[in-house]
Amino acid sequence: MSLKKLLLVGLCLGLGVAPVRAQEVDAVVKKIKATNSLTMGYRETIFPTGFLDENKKPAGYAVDMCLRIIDDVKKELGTPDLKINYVPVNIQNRQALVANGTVDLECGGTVNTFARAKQVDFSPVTFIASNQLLVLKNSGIHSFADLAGKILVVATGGSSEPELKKLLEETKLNIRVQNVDDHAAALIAVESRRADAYFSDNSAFMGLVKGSKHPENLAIVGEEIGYAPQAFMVPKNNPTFLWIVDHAMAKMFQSGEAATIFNKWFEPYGLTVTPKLRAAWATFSYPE
Amino acid sequence: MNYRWNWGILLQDPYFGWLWSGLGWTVLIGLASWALALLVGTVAGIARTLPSRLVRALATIYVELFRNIPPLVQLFLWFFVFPELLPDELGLWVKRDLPFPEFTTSAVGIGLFMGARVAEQVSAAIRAVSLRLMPAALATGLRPLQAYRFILLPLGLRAIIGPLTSELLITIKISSLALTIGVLEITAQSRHVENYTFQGFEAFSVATAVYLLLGLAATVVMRGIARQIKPL
Repeated sequence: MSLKKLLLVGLCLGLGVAPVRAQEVDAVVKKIKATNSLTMGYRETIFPTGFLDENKKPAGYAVDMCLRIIDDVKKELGTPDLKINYVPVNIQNRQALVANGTVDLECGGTVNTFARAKQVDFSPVTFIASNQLLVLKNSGIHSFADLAGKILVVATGGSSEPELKKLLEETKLNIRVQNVDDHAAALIAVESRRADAYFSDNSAFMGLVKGSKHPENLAIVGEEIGYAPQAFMVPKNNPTFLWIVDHAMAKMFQSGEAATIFNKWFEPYGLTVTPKLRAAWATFSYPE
Repeated sequence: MNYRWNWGILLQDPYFGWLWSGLGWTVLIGLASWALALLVGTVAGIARTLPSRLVRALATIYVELFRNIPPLVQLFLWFFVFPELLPDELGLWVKRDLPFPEFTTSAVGIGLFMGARVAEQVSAAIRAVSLRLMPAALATGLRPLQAYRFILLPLGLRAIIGPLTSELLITIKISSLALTIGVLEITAQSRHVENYTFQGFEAFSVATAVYLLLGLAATVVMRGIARQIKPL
């Protein structure tokens, strides 16, 4: 086999990835009506936002919120016995599964950014996270300034990484930054003293501390840095479906149901609806 | 599918820089682990053909252990478990003060895995030529060491340049395992770009092209070497 032939094959493969046809409008509504089912994406390991309970069923704050949204979908589209298909998603595949139409409603905690919003649409804000430090209690680290000369881990690709970069440029602290692949690896790094602290959004810390073998050794410290508004994802070009989602959530924000669901899941972790989140919800509470 | 292609993203700052540095790390891990694999593989491969039973047994243990444990597991063992087995001080040093800990660990981990595979090729090569040539070499008055140096290794290694090319290609491709312990090589950087922009297909197309081109380049280089030394 000649190299030229190989190159030619590679070139053809590359060209084969042709631009995609324009997507028809309201594909999700058409699919729901045609199949009488809706596919919900959920997270398996994010406590208490989305996880598998003892019976291996999806549960959590995001799942409860979405089930209420789906109740509204049934009413609006006149499909009372709509079937819900549950599809587990993770950080790597969540966007692709929404974009390619596998998942109609992604119920996790994806941070809404302008870059991401080019590919998918976002629901109103469900949770506002900000960045803090996860450390060992006896590390002597109480704030960001204590990190001078220490080793800090950050997850590759999360929304914390750009925040950290900005912060390092501003503070000019001498900190050794190492990348880790996910939250679990970060926890191991801190617990095994490979690193002194983990810089991440504090919504992830709750599940991490809970999952640790020695939660009593861990502490969440430091000032809250950054603004990471999380939301649910829906595929682009679905104005009717997005309207139902926005409307259902606005009704929950106004009736206080959203706060009830929030407190049900987050109160065991010592968190109730924060003033920032309440303000965000008020912004989405348009009148009927 | 509801996807907006945007190939321009690949040339934008900072994504271009990320992919570029990812390419650098992929090449570095590939080269470093390949150098280690050749060194360890040649030594272990020779050891497997020596008369000493003890040396042979040690080399066999190395080869069977390292080629039968999945490389991903080996990487985790080196990164997470190995430092905990050391005395406290030394373990902490490995975890915190080893230069480029993730890179070094992945180069060593992948290098030792590939070394076991290279060792098998090398010992097979030596066995293939030594069957006839070893008695002949000894008969001409060469000492065993000289026979290895002047007859068996030059002829044997020439014969396995083809299979070694495949091993090199595998090394380049499994360098992507390093992302699991935090090295931002090309696959990790593609995920990185995907996470920021949700333009995953473009980023992974680049990674695919990079592996293809690196593989083709390695093939060309190995063919060049093969032509230079002309098999007998």
